[in-house]
Amino acid sequence: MAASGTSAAGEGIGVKILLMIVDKLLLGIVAALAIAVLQHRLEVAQERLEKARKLNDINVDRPLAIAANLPGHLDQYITYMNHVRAVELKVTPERLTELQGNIDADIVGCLAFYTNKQLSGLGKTIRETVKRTKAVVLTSTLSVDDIASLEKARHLGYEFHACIVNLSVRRVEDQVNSAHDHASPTSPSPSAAIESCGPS
Amino acid sequence: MPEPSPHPSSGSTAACCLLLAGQGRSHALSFVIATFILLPTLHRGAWGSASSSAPATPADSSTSHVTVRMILLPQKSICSSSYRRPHTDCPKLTVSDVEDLKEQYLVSGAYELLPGPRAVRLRLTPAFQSALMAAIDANDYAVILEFDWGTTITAVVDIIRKSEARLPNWLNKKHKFYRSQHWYTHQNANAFDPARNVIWQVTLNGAFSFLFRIEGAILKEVT
Repeated sequence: MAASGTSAAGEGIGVKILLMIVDKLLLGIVAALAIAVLQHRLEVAQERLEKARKLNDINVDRPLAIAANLPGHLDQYITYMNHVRAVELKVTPERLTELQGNIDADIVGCLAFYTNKQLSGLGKTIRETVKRTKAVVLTSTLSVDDIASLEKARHLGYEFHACIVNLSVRRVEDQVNSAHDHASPTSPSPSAAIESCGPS
Repeated sequence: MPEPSPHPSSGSTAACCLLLAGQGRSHALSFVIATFILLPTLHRGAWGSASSSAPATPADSSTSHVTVRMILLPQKSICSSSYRRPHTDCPKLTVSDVEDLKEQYLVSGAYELLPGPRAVRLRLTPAFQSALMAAIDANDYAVILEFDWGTTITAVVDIIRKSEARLPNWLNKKHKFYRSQHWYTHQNANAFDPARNVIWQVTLNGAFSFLFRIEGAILKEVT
């Protein structure tokens, strides 16, 4: 009787130990799965972050870098025109074309990245002022009004640059928001037309 | 801002004949005069000669009879309306108007024109071509054509523009002028783009024609 009682107690301990082992194993498996899921999520997040960084490099940094050249290029053009007017410098059409080409490239380059009415309007006004003053300097002499229009173009150049900065900030914000909000994959692209490019 | 090599106009047998031809004689008479008297006096050969298709550069006074100059200027200086519509409200240009404009704007050299069926090629200078291209880009420039007949004449002149490249043909007929050495007409600067291959035909008294086309400058290499 005592022997059967001892063996029953032994079986009970064995079952307990077995259950404990199974429990620990299950816990280990669950923990390993949880770690794997977390790791996967981390990797995905890191990939997304890397992708966002690359997108920023292309979509934001590139137009910013191009737009940053515009005030300098406009300044070179205006300085050349002032020299021509003030010291009756002989006009070199090649030099003029080169300076005009730089300005055109900056504006067209930025407009390739952003579709925005205000930006297009600023770019058009600057380019037309440059074209008109180039024609004037090659066919006659620059007037006070021409110099004034160039000074206005200088301001517009800075405004254009500021517009690109604002649009870039807005684009980064949009990208951050869309990274958080996976539920709206059909949200408008950051490059979609934005009517105004004032600070966000 | 005249370009170098300005051409002082000179009286000539050719111009005297134009005067005769313009004073009420029939077109047939004009043609006879033009063919038998005027043409042999021209320095550079007869109709259809190979030399007539050689590019003309701004002429000097010793070789010229009938010449043309181009004055490049903003369209608003001479005409308020667009060239797309018939520009009836463009004021007629007088000699003094044009002389004033020549002081202010770029003027090409004088190119000699030859009568005949072949178009004389007017070779632009690099400076004029650069300015012309900038003017075409600016899109609101015009070119005045100043014809100098060499002496005072009375005649009826027709001008026709024929283009092969995206420019509608245009004509301006029966312009009569009295006792004048010059005749002026103007067009949008686009029409003078050498790439458009425009042929201009100016006919005096319906009798004989001067054909010319604008030819691009030989540009130096840009480094």
